[in-house]
Amino acid sequence: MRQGSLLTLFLLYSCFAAWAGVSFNRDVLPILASKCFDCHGPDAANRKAKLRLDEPEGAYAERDGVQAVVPGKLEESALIARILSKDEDEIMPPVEEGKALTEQEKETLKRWVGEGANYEKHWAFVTPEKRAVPEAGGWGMNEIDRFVHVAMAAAGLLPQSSAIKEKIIRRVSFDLTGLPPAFAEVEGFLHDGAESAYEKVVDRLLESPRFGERWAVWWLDGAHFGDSHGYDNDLENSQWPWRNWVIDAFNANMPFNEFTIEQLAGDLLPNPTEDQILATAFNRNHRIQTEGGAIDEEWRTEYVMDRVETMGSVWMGLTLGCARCHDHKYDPVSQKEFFQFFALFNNLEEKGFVDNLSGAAEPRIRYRAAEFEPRAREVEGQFKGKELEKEKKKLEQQYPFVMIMREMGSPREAFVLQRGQYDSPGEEVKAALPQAFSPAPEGNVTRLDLARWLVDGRHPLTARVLVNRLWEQLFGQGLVKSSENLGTQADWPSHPELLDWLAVDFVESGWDMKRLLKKLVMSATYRQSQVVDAGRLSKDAENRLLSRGPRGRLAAEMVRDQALFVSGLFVEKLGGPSWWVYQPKGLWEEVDKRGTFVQDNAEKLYRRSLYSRIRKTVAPPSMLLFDMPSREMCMVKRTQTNTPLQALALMNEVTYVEAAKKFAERMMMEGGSAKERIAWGFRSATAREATPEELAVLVAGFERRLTRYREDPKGAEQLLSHGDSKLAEGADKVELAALTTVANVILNLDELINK
Amino acid sequence: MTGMEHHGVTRLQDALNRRAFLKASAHGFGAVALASLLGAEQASARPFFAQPQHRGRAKRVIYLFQSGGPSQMDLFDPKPQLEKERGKELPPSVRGRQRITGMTSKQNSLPILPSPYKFARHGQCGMELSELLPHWSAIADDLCLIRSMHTEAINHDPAITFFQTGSQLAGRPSIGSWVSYGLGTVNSNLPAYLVLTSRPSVGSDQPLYSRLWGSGFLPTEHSGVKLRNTGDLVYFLDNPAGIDRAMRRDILDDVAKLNRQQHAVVGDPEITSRIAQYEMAFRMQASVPELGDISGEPESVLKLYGPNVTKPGSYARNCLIARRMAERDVRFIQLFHMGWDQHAKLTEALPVVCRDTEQPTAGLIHDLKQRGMLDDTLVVWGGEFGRTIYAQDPGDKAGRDHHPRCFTQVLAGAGVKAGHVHGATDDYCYNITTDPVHVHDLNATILHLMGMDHRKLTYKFQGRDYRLTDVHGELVRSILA
Repeated sequence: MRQGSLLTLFLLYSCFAAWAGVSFNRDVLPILASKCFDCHGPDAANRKAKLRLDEPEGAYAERDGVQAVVPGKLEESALIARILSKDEDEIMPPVEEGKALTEQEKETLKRWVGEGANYEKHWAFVTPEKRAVPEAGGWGMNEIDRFVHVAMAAAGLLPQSSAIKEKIIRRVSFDLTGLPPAFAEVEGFLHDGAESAYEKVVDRLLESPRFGERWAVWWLDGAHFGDSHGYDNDLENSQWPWRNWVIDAFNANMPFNEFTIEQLAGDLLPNPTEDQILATAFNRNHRIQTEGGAIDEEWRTEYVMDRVETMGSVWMGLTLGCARCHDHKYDPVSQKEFFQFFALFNNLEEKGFVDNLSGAAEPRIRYRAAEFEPRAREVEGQFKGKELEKEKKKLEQQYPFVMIMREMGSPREAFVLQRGQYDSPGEEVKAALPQAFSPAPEGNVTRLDLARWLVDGRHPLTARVLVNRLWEQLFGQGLVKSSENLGTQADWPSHPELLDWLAVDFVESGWDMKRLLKKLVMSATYRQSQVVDAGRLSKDAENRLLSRGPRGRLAAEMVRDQALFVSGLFVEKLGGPSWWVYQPKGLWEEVDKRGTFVQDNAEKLYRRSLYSRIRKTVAPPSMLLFDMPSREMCMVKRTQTNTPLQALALMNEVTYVEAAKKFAERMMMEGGSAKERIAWGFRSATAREATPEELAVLVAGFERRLTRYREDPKGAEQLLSHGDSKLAEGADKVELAALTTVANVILNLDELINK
Repeated sequence: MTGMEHHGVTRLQDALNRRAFLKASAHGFGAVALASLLGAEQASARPFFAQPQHRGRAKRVIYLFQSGGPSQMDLFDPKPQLEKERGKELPPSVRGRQRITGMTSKQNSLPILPSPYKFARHGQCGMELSELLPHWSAIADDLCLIRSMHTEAINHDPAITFFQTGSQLAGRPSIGSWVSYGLGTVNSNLPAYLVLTSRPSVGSDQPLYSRLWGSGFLPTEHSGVKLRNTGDLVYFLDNPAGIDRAMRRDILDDVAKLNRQQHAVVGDPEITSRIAQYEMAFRMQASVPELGDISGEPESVLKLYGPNVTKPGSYARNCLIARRMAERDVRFIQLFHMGWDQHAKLTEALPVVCRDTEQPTAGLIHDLKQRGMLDDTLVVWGGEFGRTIYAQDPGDKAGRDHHPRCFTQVLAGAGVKAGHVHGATDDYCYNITTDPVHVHDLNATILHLMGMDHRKLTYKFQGRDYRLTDVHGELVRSILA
């Protein structure tokens, strides 16, 4: 790009974002929120000196002849005097709070007061609007790129070139379906010279049933789905049919508004279908207390709290839980409003303590009752005694009870619980929705009203939260980095106008998730090469400006699924119950009361990780190591770590050793020289050809270890003994073992565990 | 789009060319400089505090968690005058509005069950200890008893979660993770937070949960790593049969070579970090087994820990390994022993768990002291709550129910008063009368002893600065030496 157009872009951007001057939301609010609101914020009970700084009325008010903030007048503003004070007893924030302001923060507050101390409503609490897409550049594929390009240019950065085809097909395959591309798919794409070649790949991936499986994993974290009750002896539940519902909903591209309404309130729809009731199992994935002596009401209260907090995190991107004990310190949710939400989720005939619960607690429905009942009658007629019991049990496992939401005849009384304690009821409350976000129905509201309010298109948070999280799934970080929280404590968006544009566009499209994802992956921004040079690293270390393609570690499930896929062990089957895959010997015994582990076998061992059983108190260690949450509580953002324990798992866990063995066998079957076999293996795992240097390393390693195994054929035999899968007859075991070590190298490459 | 998508074959050629170019430019710029731009050659993130905020007395903590709820009136808090009230009803004025668990709330009587065990004074300080702790008589002058601990939870899971994370509900980081996050690791061959678990020699008990040593919302690298009692000491530590250490080295060398080539092309500093993690994994494959290998320990040392020290997975063995960890500068060492939940058969069950644990605990403190390590090691002993003075299922098989309102915690070593008793309870060992210490206070004090201000050790999550002690916690100054 020429210098001239860069400059034009910069000027454009300056006007566009009103970059000059202090922005209350971008610059001032984060300081006030983190340093002042604890004592001078929305929480009335803990407010000091009756001063509140979260509203202009409070800040400007005269109290005992003093004004905290006098717009435009630094010397008359007590706030400025106090933050600049040298007196330890005077200075704000107080020394003992340990929240001293930095010089830059003081400067910002001075500028803000000097420029008129304007207040703005927190950006995420204002319904988003679609601003004009900037007319800039000449770079890019769609609207996204134009927003991105403007910001990049303003920082003096140029877009990175496109990723090579081998890289982009791998990236988009993982992002949309959670699996790498097959060898033939890469070949097909490389040889398709048409303009639309990439779009064809994207469309194929969006239509693949693997799409639903990949996105279900993401959704299950928020819902904290698992296969057990999560306390004490932690016996199994039977919620998996709800997981089927989620997979199917993603695959059918159910609009997100319907997706929301059915899960939060499917049971309250007129004449709900069985599937709509099944959808409400979303709110029954919380843990259930089974420890002897537990106090029923204490725990029932806890489940209702869990539902409120989960709804808040998943749809609103707010930490409603903070308002359980006191008014929210940062966001406009009072304790009373928290318990008005509470009253919405409080009306089930459910128990808090269920002794030794295994399976489903009330309220519940039989999964596919219409199929189950005739088959149950059939079994009753066909079998007797022990046989009958066995057959009945089998059938009940296939059609289990699932915990769902069902309203009681009349709602339970609800109260503001003082300090959030179940046994300290205060003022009585009725179900209601807060008015601080967007107009909400008043009067007798139900969960259905709540759900409809969230997706009425005016709610300022729902679409932003969702768009931002889908963005994060593809780009590794959200446009708002704190994707879990869009409240006043949220990070300032890297591209605020883009976020809003996408949010509005998403609602206008009828909450079409596949369309949104397609827009993201079709963008040139997404398709950039990951290569980072010194300039990008110094100007955009975290890639907030999107000056290169996203690079990040694969999710736990993708790491394992890739190994199964590359090795050929992968068994593809959509939906159904969960299975016990390999786990370290003695895992349950060491923490007691978990019984004896019986591993499932044959094809059940090689299904996608989404179908691996999760016992919440002892979740699969190799998954936890790769940052899968234990599913004990709602988690809407995974951390991404890089630890030596991950290395140990990939080096040594039976899953990966077995995968290496079977991967080696595939290389053997390809035929040709060792070099040709290894080249094929490398390409089939990474989607690209190895460079001559890379190939040389792998072949030399193969030969060294071949010599070792020739001297130690027993060692070769041992290496090929791991895992339940058998090897084809007749292979040269020494050669196969040496090749297995090559496969082990490939499966441990940084390139493989990243996308 | 700038026309970068051509036919596959030429694309590949392009890629190779670009790779060659970038490699050259990366070298030109200096691959090292590129990596160090983000300080990425470090294996793990920088600790939150570059150095302790004040001179901490404790370089490390050995936390001996006694899971289930040890009975304070049978071990540490004698109430001999209660003998004359045996079998009488607990006065309602003492109980107040205290909630009780579902296990005894249906009992129509709450009769007083005085401790059947004798207490005697020990050491120069004259600390009163129960006959169930014979080996502790020799370490009384090293101990600091807090008889006035209290907590908020009444069931095991929330109570132990509260002790470990400062919250009853799952999801917060554990205390050891906070320490790892705050101060980082000293020994680059071992994680900063290691955990060992043991079960009672007789019977079973309340389960443990991996969240207890989890990192919650802190990065996973701060999670406690549990050393196991069977099989690999750390999950997936051992090479699979058929790959020996030399071959593993050979394989990892290939992985590193290829990763370095990849780094030269892509330039992502995270790759350098990955290479470092693989090296640490390789070192752990040697350092962890060495940690668990007690064959070099002399008989005189083994004897300190009692006869069970020969049994892998026993509390006694774990105490010895804890000392070995301390010698290797592991920051936070935590043992969990299950078996303190005596709802029934108090007089049968309590002596068993005491036999399993009291000698090894005393032995560990003695061993640390004789090596001069008690000066900079803080030892913490205690469970998630105490037990009731009234009987559960009165009669021959009587036990005690959970009691969160008062119980005893024991500290020893770096920075705490030795031969000291803090706080007191009422005549019924039911309520605290002086100097209450809340769980948050204890945790604040532990962090303080390690040189950290609990109010300043924060992590931003969901837009809020979180702390181990939430918005609570007062330093217990009067126990500081």
